Amino acid sequence: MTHVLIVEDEVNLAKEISNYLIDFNYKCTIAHTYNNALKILAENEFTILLLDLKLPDGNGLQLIQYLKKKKITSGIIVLSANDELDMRIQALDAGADDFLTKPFHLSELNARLKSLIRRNFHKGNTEIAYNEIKIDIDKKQVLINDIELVLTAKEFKLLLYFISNTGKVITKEAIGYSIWRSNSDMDVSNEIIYTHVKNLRKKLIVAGCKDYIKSIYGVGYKFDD
Amino acid sequence: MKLVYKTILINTIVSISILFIGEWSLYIFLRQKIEKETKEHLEKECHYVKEELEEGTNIYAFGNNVGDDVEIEEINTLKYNQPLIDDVVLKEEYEEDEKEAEMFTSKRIVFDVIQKEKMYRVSIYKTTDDEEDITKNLFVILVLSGILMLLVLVTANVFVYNKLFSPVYKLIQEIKKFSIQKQLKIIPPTTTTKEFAELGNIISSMSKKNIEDYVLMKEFTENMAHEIQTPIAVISSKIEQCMQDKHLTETQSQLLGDANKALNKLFNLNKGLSLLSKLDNKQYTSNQPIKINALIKERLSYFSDFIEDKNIAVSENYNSDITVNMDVSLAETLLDNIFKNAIKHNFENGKISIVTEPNAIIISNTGDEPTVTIEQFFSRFYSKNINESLGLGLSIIKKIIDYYHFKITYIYINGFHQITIQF
Repeated sequence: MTHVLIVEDEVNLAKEISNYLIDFNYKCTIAHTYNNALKILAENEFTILLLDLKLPDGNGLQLIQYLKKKKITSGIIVLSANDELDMRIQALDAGADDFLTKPFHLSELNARLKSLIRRNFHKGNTEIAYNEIKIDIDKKQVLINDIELVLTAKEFKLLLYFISNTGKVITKEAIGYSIWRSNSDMDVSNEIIYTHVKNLRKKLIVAGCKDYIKSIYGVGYKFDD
Repeated sequence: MKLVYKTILINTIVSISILFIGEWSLYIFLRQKIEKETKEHLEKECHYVKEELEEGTNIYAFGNNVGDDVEIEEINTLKYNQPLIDDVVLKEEYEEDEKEAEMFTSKRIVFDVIQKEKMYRVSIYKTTDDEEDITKNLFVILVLSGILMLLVLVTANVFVYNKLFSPVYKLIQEIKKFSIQKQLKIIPPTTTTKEFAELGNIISSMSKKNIEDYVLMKEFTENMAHEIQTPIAVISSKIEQCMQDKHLTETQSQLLGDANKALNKLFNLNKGLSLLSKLDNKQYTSNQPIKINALIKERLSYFSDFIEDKNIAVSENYNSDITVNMDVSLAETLLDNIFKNAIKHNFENGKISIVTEPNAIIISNTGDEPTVTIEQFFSRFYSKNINESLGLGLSIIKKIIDYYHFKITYIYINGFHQITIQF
């Protein structure tokens, strides 16, 4: 089982992250302070650390340095309210694997977390399967019942995002951010998301896939059995 | 005009006036004195002549006795029973050449006397030329020495006042150099003049207070923008979790969706304002040469879906390869905001044209005719449609342009909104 340590002083946020991740069979531990995190780290091993940089009694960067010094191989995703390029570079230089700016969508965090786990712990095996769907992330290949389905780059990203968050309602804003916004900062219109989801859905159904993508009125979508 | 010269000018004008009035009065006073003296002298002589005549002295004997020029003539009728004093102009007597003879004024007393039943008219002359010459010379000397004194005074004043006011000039230089961003407080000039020392100290402490306030304000804005992120993150996570509830009705779902949308707007607004405040605080210093053409191509590629969605035709003409020294993230933000605008306010099947010229990029797009002035166009929160995202984009563009002292011009021409940026 994947064990995640959430180092976040904002109790409410830590709780919701934990609640979201537990549904994906992660074991979550929460530390609200720097010293608390140090104590927990001394006694437990974690696959992933979700780390807030600004803690009441210390700096998250120091914690990264501590982990590197102790040769602890946990993957690190920094959660920071500071989106300065400088801060990002500092965190990544110190040894963080990913950087997510607050506020973030839980579905986005989950997708990043899964991607990090795949990169760090399943080297050479980057395949994901969901019933009749098989995805090879390195090759950017999708197989439906072992027959290749050709998707555009955006559709591929979209499918991956859905499969990372199966069973969860995903907001249009989250999809917009993950697929477009992170680069263009454009307000993604509902039409664009709708068009892309519609195209993906059609392609999947035509390829003989079950219709997993459900529209949730006024909110977004859900990929579910 | 410099304070020093203004002071000296006023001083000089006052000095000249006093000098002129004083010297002129002296001159007038002296002349009147001389005239009075002369008159008295003549009256005395008239009195003397009359006395002598009564004692029987021969009238023609006075010519030599009186000492001044005396003219005696016999007359038939008495006219001047009372002696009359007047001025007469005479010609110099001893000059042979008539033309060269100088004219000079003389005072004259005329009176008629009777002796041995004969009537005589006596005129006694007394020249005042010598006295007048002295007065005139005195006047000239006074004026000359006055001018000399003024010259010395002005020169001394220039020197003294410049030295006296030097703390003020030093202070002005200090104030000119003052920059709130560099956070260097104004150093008061050292001076023994009480008022200047006080002025320097007041301005210095004012600058200190300004810097402190500025730092506080900056910290507040930064902290505010920063601190607001966490509660937004909490609300966002709560909404997202809430949405997972399988028993949600469609209405509840819709409510959550709307709340999420509004929250997203708040987040974007905060991000924009935080960027603007960082620009105001000049916090971008890591400049590096940026190839604009390559960056345009890169940034534009991220917008391909939005361009396709509206079926916009994009034409790119790279006539010049521009390299600009900028912060990378600001350069990206600048281009992104321009593209965002060009797409957002474009028509379906519209057009976007990107042209690079030496030192300039020109980006134009089709769109509705603007309803506001150019000044409003770049102002904060201007948005064509209130339902669209808040119009921070244009003011961010303007701020970045100002930050690097570039020039931006906007015109609406032939159905195109055209933005030109000159680097």
